[in-house]
Amino acid sequence: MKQELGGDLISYRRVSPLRAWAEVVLGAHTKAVRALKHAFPDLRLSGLTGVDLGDKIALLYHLRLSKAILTLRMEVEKGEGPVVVDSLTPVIPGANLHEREAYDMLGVVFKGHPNLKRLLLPDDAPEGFHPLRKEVEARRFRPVETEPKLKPVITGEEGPYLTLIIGPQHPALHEPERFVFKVDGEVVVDVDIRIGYAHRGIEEAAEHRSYVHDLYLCERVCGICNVAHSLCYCLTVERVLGLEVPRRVQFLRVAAAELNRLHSHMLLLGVAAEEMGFSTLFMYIWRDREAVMDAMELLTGNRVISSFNRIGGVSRDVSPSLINKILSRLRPLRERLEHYLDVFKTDPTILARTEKVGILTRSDAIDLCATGPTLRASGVDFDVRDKDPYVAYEELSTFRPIVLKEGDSWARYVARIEECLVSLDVIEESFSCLPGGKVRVRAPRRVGPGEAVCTVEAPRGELLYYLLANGTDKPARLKIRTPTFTNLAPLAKMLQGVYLADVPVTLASIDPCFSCTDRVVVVDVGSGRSWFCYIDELPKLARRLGRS
Amino acid sequence: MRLLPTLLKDAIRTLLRAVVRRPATVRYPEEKIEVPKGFRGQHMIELDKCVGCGLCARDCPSGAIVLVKEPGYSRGLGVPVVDLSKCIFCFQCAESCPKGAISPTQQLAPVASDPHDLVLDFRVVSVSHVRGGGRLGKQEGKLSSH
Repeated sequence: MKQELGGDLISYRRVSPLRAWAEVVLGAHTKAVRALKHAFPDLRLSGLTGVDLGDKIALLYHLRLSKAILTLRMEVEKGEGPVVVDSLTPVIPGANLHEREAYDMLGVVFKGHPNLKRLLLPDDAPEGFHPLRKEVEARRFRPVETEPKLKPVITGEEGPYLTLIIGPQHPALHEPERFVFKVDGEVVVDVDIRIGYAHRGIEEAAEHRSYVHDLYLCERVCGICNVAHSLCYCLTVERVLGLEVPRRVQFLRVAAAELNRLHSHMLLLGVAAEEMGFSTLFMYIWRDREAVMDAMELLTGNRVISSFNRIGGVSRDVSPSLINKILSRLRPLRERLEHYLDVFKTDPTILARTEKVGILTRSDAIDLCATGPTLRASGVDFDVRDKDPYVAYEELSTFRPIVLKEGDSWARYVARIEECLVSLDVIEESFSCLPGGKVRVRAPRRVGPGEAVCTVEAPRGELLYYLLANGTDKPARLKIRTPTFTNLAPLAKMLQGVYLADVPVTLASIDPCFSCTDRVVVVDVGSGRSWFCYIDELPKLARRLGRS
Repeated sequence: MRLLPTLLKDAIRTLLRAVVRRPATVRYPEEKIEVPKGFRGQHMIELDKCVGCGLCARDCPSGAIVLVKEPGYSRGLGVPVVDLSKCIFCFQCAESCPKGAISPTQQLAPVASDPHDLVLDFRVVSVSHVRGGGRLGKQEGKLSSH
């Protein structure tokens, strides 16, 4: 399939049915991706890893073909001056943020990128400071103490638009994020997203810790989907080690991952109800979510951070009586979830707030590399558990991917409720056919040399880990691509054309792992006047502006 | 308006349920919270099993375990002492322990205004009699040297 490339292809190997590695000469990647895109119309960029090899930088494009992952590898000499390669953004618009991250972290300049600036580090980070470069000592970096300076919030652009800046500080949710909206009256015309306010340098930190320590570091990338992160990390390390884990472990891991999904989805559904102003529903959903937390506590020994997955197994075994306890705790949940499904399908408030709001079409979802429920709600039948199965998903008959056609906020919420119902089935089945055996095998402390890419369907979508091991007890490179990261570009797309008042609901519909907004700065371009208002007042404000 | 009857039915059912249901919250700390068996709470280190190999301290992701030399105690590197203010309760230490001397108890981690009060020391008390671990208390400057 890739032989069209001819001499530009240096090597190609297929390590397993769903994993392939290809190496191309410098600059041939755009041609290769174009050819692949022609052969696989659903091709998406799953991740872009940059590895500093000393005198060279390797760029690894993890491409999700229809099912398999092809990693396209390309090496660039470092030399003097900046490292320049062609940008993939013209071919795959979703590569935009991935390339900005690689530029920020490794200083790779992508020629033809529309907006190549810092993404994770502060804008005033020193010129040429790229923390994943080996010659840079990232630990030494301290943000420059400068006088607080109010940045101009009015863009130079002429026109009848208001610039609306939301974030980065937000008291209600956990993480800071900054959105610059251009609004025409009440309607969002364009949005620019700036992330990185909660950048912790985990990838760099992982290179300085042992594999055992990294497990707990990775688990803390995200508190809500911690099982997905620890599972993906363990799978990646086990794949490099060639470690075969017992079958019992695989089923227990499924149960933990699905409990985690239930907890995450119900958390989001509550938040969504709250964003719509439907506080009663929020309370009900979160009350019912307690059952999931209790089940999680019974299974893993803790409510939130489970520390369940270990390299080579899981932390504890379950007894039949414990399984009964967990299942009886979850039993009332099905009826409740069916009720919520009914509510989301019939309640006039919810329908009015979410139906035909924030539409992401199928082609946009693919071009912008959406993932998870966001992708499936736009009609693309792709679920990692289904197409690229890991642990025991292949053997579970109750699992089915939820695909909806509408592509609006409503579909994204409903897809999540239906996924919750599937999760319940999967948990029951995985417990009912739990094979016997050990729950742990000993794993060596030194890993590799070798490399592996693993993906897991986290609650928010496909989570990707890339590990380069060099035979020591510390990884040489650990790349984590979280689902929200790749869902940001589709988010910007779906926010275009929605009413300002619908922004929070649309934001929540991708289940973002960052905060949205309740206090914003509004700048009137006409008068240059700026003032503060709360998000609750936005609809009122918008009406007033519309009148004047 | 055919929605109305179903909505009303649901509303009434939910209301009736809410009336007969017990409160979802517990008056903590007046009422005790029951944690299930296997909950990862405070540590329990059985010193008669411990050989002082220090694997727990090496694998602890947050550096919460320190082996302290004790006069008259000759096993390995010393006695493991857990600083609960640093601990993330992952129990990798229990996993790494070759002798199975570390296990979690159902006792919730204590609350203190001074992190030094959260050092879990097993040297003083005869451990086998104390469910839920050893003595909590200040460490006469021994831990701060690490």
